[in-house]
Amino acid sequence: MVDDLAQLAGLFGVQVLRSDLEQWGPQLRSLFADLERLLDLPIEDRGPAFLGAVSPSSGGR
Amino acid sequence: MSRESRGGGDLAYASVAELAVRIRSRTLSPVDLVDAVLDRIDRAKGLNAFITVTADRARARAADAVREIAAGRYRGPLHGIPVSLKDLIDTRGVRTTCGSRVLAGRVPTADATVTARLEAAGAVLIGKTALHEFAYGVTTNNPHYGPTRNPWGPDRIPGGSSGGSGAAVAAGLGPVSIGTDTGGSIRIPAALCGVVGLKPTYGRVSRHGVFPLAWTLDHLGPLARTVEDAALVLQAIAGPDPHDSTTLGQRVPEFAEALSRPLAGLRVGVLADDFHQEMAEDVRTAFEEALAVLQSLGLEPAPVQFPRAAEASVAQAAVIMSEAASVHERWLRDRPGEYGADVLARLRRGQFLSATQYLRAQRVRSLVQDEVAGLFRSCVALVCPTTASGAALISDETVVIRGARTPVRDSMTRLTRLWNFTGLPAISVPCGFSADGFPIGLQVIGPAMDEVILLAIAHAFEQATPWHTRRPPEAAV
Repeated sequence: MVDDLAQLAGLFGVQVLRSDLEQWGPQLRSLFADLERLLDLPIEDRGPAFLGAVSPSSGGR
Repeated sequence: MSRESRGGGDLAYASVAELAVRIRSRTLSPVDLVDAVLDRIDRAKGLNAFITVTADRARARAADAVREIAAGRYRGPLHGIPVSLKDLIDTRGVRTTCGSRVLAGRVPTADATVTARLEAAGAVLIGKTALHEFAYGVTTNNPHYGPTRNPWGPDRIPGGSSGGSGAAVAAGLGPVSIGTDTGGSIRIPAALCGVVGLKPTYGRVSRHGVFPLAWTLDHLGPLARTVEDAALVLQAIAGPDPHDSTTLGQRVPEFAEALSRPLAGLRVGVLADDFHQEMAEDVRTAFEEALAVLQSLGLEPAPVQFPRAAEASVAQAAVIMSEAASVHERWLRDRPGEYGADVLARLRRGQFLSATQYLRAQRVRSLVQDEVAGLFRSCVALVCPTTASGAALISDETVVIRGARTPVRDSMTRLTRLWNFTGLPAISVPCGFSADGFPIGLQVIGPAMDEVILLAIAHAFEQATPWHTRRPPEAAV
C-alpha cells in the first residue's frame, strides 16, 4: 500500500514523506474499502448531486 | 462609559432583540454599546476569540448609526448592533487570514455578500473571529494564532471550526457572530459554548466572498445568544445573490414571525438508528430530558431511522476530502511548509482520492438526499444531540464514549456532518450541561428551505428551559 501511494504521489507531483504515507496507509485503505462498498447501493440510475440549491419538494439538489 | 457597560453584565448579555428596542428608542447609544463590547474584548484577550479587532472602524460606524437614527433613518433590528465575522469572510480593507499563515497578510478589496448585507442592515463590524486553520478542523487549536479557549473553562476547546465565534458570543463579546459550517462548524462551537448556532439550508445564504472548505458542503449562518436573534440575523443575510448561483430562485419567509407558530400535535422524528445513538452518557441524559420538554410543549417525538447513515458518512468524507484538496491544490504543491501539521495531513490524504470515488460519493449523496427527504412525510423535524460528547481538553485528541476511545473530531462531527451532506437546515440550542459543567446542545433539523419550523421548535424549547440564561464565569473576561 505504501509503495502504491508513493507511486501515486509521484504521478500526481505530490511531495510527501514516506513516514506520512506509512501513517496514512491503513486509514486510506479502510476508506477505499468503504468507498468500494458504496457500489452496492442502488445508484446505477443516479447522477451526482452537485452544486445547486436544495429543492424544498424533494430535498435533493 | 456607564457602570452597566463597564461591568459588562446586563448589556454584554442582552440579546439583539432587547438591544434593538433600546437603540431604536434612543435610550442606548450604539457608541456606548460598541465601547462596552470593545472593552470586554480587550479584557477577554486570554480567550483568543479574535484574530483582528476593528475598534476604530467600529467606533466610526457606531457614530454613523447614532447620526442616522437621530435623523429618523432607523434601518431595522441590526442597526447599531455589534457583530463579528469568522476570519474567512471577506471584509474590504480588513485583513482576512482564514486562520492561516498562507493568507496571513491578505486584505480583501471587496466585501463578501454577507458582510455587505450586514452593513446594509446597519450592523457594526467589531472584528474577525478565530477559526481552525482554513476551517478544516473542530478544535480551533490554531498553530499560527494560538488555541481559542472555551469561556466555560479555559483548558477546554470551544469547538470549531468557528470556535472564535462561539467563544465570543458566549463570553458577551458581541451578541452575534457569523460562522461557516461544512461538517458542523457553526453548530459544534454553539453547543460547546452554550449558545445558539444556525446552519440554514444549502443555498439559503450566499457564499460569495467566503473562502471555501468544500464547495458543495459549505454553509453560512449566525451564532447568537437566542433563537430569536438567530432569526433576525438570518433575515438580514438570506436570499438570492447573483454572485452565488446556489442561492437563486428562493423565497425568503419572515423568520421572526414564525417563532410563535403553534406546535401542538406535530410529530418530531428522534434519530434512533445506531449511528445517531453513539453518544456519551451525560449527553444522552440531557437529550432525553430535552425530549421530555418537547413533549410538554405538545410535540410528539417518535423514533425514525436515518437511511444508510454509515454509508452516507463515508461518502461525506470523500466529498469533503476531495473538494478541500482541490481548493488547496496549488498551495499544497508550492507552500506546504506554511500549513499546520493536522490540516496539511488532512489535505494530503484528500489528494489520493480518485475522480470516480468522488463522483460515486456524490451519486450516493443524491440517493441519501431523496431518502432523508422521505422522513419528513411523517414528521415536521428531526432531533438529536448536536455533539456526541462535551468540550474536550485542548490537549486531548480522543475522548471516551461508552468506554471506547474516539477521536475528538469524530465525536464532534458525527451528529452534525450528515446535515451538510443532505444540505438540510439545522440549529443547535443549549439543552443542559455535562457531568463536569460544560454546555450540551440539542440539534433540530428541518426539511429543505424550512428554517421556519426548526426556529419555531428551538424557540419554544429555549423559552421553556433555563439553559440560555446561564453565563460562563466572568473570570474568562
